[in-house]
Amino acid sequence: MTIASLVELLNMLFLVYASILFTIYILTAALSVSELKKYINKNRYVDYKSMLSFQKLPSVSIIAPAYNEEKTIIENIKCLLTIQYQNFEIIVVNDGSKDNSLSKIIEYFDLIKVNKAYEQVLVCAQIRGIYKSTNSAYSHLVIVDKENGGKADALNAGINVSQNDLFLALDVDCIIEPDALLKMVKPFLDDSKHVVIASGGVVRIANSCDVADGKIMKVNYAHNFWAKFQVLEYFRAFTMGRMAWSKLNGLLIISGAFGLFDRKRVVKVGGYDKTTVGEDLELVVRLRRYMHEVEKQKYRVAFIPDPLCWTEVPESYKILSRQRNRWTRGGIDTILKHKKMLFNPKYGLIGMVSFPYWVFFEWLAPIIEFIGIIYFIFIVLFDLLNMQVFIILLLFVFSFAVMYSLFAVFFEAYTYNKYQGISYIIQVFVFMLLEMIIYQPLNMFFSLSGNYDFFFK
Amino acid sequence: MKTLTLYLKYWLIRVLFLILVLLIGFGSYFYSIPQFSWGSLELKNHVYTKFKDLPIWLYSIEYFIYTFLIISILLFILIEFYKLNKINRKTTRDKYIEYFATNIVADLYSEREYTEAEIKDNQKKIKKAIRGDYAKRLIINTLSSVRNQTVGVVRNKTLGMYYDFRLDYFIYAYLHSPYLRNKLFALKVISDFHLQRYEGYIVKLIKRKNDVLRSEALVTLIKLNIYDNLLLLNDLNVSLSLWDINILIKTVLELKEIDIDYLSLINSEKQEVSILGIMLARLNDQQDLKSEVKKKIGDANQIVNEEAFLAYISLSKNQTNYGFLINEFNSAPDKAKKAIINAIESHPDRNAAIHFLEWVVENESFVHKTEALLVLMELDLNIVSVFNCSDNPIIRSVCAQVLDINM
Repeated sequence: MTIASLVELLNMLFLVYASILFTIYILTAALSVSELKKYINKNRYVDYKSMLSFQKLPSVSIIAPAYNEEKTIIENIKCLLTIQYQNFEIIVVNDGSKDNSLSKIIEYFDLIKVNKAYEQVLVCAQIRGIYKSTNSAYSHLVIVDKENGGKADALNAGINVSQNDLFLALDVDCIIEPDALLKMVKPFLDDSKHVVIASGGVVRIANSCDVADGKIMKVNYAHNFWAKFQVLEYFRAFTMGRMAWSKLNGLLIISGAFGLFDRKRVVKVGGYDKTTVGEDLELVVRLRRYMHEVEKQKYRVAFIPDPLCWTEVPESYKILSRQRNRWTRGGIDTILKHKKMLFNPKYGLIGMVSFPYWVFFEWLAPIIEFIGIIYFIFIVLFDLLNMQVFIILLLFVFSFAVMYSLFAVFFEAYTYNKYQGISYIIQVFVFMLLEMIIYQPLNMFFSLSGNYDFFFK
Repeated sequence: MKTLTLYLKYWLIRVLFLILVLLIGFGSYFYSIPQFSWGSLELKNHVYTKFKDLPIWLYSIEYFIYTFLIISILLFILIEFYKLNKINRKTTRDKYIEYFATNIVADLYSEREYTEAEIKDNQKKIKKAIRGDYAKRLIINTLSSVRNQTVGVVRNKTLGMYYDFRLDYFIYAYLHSPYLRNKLFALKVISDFHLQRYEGYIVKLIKRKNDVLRSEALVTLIKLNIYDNLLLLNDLNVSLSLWDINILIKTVLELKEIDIDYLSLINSEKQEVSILGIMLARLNDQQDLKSEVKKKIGDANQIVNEEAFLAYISLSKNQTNYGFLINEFNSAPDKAKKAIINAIESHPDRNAAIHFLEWVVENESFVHKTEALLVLMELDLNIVSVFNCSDNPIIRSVCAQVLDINM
């Protein structure tokens, strides 16, 4: 094989891969439009508060692991206490914090240690004590103090202590809308054709937003350089990606920051996996696998496009790189643990579409992108580059990326319109362009380092 | 006329979208040829010569770039349009809310007798002010909200205003609109204002394919209180979700004058209707239906079974067949088991009750152990103390919990 024919072959492979990827993006955009429209039409006039007087409503435990959160923990719990629901409890799991988180909570909420019994249905680190408030205003609140074991371990401890039908896994520093739980529970009630095993919601970025008394008072576009990119990224991921996968009933991930699950089924599959750093993704995949292998019922993982949960994203390069590295390792771990599902028709759409997509376009995409860059350098060095073709392809990628991001921004404006002002639009546009030059290559680098760490460290 | 406008808008948007897609398709073809001729029409592709040496796939790529750029510009304009539109809507809303507060709501609560001339003048002003759809929806929502929170004269006045401002014409158009959102809005208003004249059309909506529409239409019909025995549920080919059941129960409980045919509902072949019937019998304390409910215990459907247990316990009052409950305990779903354990507290045979509860503590799940120990504590604290020294650590921990006064 001559170099020219090898170059020709590689060109073709890259082109085919890119074409499939772009086609998938276009399809997800189209599916998102359809699903979002359906959701808005269906729920526009729903009076969620009427759920508070429903006769048949599942009980919910909100489980919020906390580790060294002394600066914000009181405000965070106060925010959780504003949640509107009929039959719920808030379980804050102090995961062996080294700071004064626990003493602060005890003091502020008048807590005392109680003999609350629990069943160790899931393996977790030792629980040192369970606290409840002597103040009846906080009767919903339960604090679990345990040895440090990580987020998955803390969630498992929370599941052990909870006895309700559903549980909401929540990052304690998230700000959630008061009616978030009502909206998240609705899919469990209104689907008469499927068993709903979990529901996820849109997570938005709280950086630079005006917050008072645990509530978002005004939504601002993030001021921090790195957070600005992530706002766009979250728009695309939640509004376009997850919405489309939800339409196909192929959603594989529910954000670890905010997800509602059927407790019994989670217990049956063994709870959160403590050995992986991507416990959120892994749990959903395992739950789906369980439904196909054991229960064999029609089931669904629902997704709510309402912005119900607000979270702080990394504002420094270092923390961002660590987060993305962790996400990559979590993704690879899950893929390898459940590789049996890949192209396995027994798992239906999950095995034939969702899982392969995750493998080829989530895990391998940064690797292929990196190979592409190496290949590009190679052909430049050997003077094999056709400049005209290169410029056209580059423009194609740029124009597509801008259009796709604009679609996500348009969705936001069309539906919830939380961001205001002309400066927001201008900044969004500038960062859409910068994203291609700065943020995407960096993300690729973070993913590669995650791959390296997973396989070689 | 209004309905026609809505249909025109509906189809115009779709036709424009189709034209856009066709233009993109045609553009893709035109871009790859030097000249397009159709009859006397001749269009020359000026950029063809510049790129004619490129392979066809690259042509397509280039064409996509232009398409993406045009779509991006369109999206940019649309984003601005929606943002401005929403700001305008907010301004309009604020303006109208103030206007409604001073004119309409004040009128609704006023005890002063207005002269004919004053009423006409006021109506004229308001009709002029609420020309747009958005303003109409706002005023309807205002009236609905007042109507739902009031009784008597004020409540009646809202209906008077609804007709005086010719809002019924608007609701008619919305109900017949091709847009689902409009239909849903109209259904909500129809049930709020109890507009029975739409009954016929709503019955048609129940047969539509759209689940949301069918369920909303059904709730509206129930709220209209026309089919007050709820038997229409049996005749409909509608699958009810738990959401629908909850909404229907809430609706029925709010309707004071309703004559429900419980028996037919409970014995319905449709499980969801049966659940609804059993729940309503329990909530409306229909004690004479105890034996009918009892027959449903052991039903293959878990929810029917659970609700039957709950209803039987609730309706039995002092005539509970405790032996039956104890015998059926193993077949009961979790929530029913909890109810049985609590009901056993009133068992006239204290020894039998204690014996059963001891069995539950030793053999049943953690949740039921806790429940049983709580009841045992009421019956005989000494037994709880004995369990406190049990070899089973789970029983000991549950004992510690029930004995903890802070729990």
